[in-house]
Amino acid sequence: MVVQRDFPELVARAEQIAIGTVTDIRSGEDASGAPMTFVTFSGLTVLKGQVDATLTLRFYGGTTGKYTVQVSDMPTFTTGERDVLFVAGNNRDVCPLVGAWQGRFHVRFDPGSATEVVDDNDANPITQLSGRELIRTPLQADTTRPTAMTLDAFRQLIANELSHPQAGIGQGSGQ
Amino acid sequence: MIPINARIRAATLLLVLLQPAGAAYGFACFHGPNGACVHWSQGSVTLRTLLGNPTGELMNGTLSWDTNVLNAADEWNSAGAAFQYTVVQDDNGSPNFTCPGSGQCGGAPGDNPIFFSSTACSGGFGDIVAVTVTCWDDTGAIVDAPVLFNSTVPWNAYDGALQPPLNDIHRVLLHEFGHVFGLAHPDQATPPQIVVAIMNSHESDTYQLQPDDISGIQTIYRNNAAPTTGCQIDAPNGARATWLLVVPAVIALRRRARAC
Repeated sequence: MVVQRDFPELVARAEQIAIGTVTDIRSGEDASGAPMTFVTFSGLTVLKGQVDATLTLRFYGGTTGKYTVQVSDMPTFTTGERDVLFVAGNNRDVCPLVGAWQGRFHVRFDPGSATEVVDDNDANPITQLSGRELIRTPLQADTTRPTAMTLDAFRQLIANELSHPQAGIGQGSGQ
Repeated sequence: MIPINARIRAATLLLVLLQPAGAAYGFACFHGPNGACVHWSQGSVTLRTLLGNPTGELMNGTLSWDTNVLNAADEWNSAGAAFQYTVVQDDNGSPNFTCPGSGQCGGAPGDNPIFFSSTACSGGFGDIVAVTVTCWDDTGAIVDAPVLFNSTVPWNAYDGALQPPLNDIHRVLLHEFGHVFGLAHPDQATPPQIVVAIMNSHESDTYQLQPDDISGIQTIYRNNAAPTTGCQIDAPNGARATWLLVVPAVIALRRRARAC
């Protein structure tokens, strides 16, 4: 279970913010033999911090021998998908994203508007920023998909927050 | 004469329509190698608590973290499923837990220590307040599921709305114990389910088990018998060819098919 993070916290706590495409997902073990899942992103656009040409994130969990280890707060990825990532603690923490799954957003091409738009980790469209909170309209199978925020608008929100950070980003390592 | 299939569909629809708003179930489970829900192969699992005592009385009137472990386990035990937790206090013991690795689950099979730690397996907790490390074998049978509580964040025990920055250990225990027996986050299922549940993915004002959570444990551990291959298998016992009995079975199976 994770601490809930608002948008200013996502931006402020991220050591790197980047947009990239998943080009490789690999199960492996670290030096101690712990099962890890390594997800590599390419074609990066970096919005905060220093990132190499590719970014490989290390998530705890995966398969080791005949056993599978599951940590429920880890997001899952698919090769070819494009994401906005708020990275913190890569190769240090069990999950290298701010707020675990909260620090991952899907980028999706919307045929209606012919633009890239942004969904949250659970595929719920992000529609606006209200105060400190990103508003996401829950996606229901029996309703029309609401209009999501464009990627350009989302990038602008991040740029605004980086240049004029809101006060109060919580306290402590977990809060 | 209306065909029986049509009657079943009509009755099913009627019952679905008569359900109160919000009665739809959205629970989700961890999926094993055969696609079925992972599960314990026996109906009784021991939780070994090493949480011990806080420095004073907790906000909900309890005097120890372990009491909250007992209470949370009892709530799941009262859910009416063919699954029971037994809690053992071992405050002076050792977690005897090594993180899974090198082709092994951590610790002894069936040993599920619950303890505070400043680090999670292989690193820091980050924004995670508690984590269940659920490990299962290639048949989908859970081997162990230790629960690690982040000792670097403030804890107490209380009902009602969240009181940040204090984390309520009782609701987090309820949530993590759901992971111990195999439930996942309904709001992160595919597609995401919009339900009120203690098993949703982040801390909220929900502090008790909800109907969706109870439906989840009853689905994985049902029929008063230990599950063998998860919840994709056999139809419920006693389904007969009268539509009054078939309709609930159809509804139940549809729910299971969606959730698992």
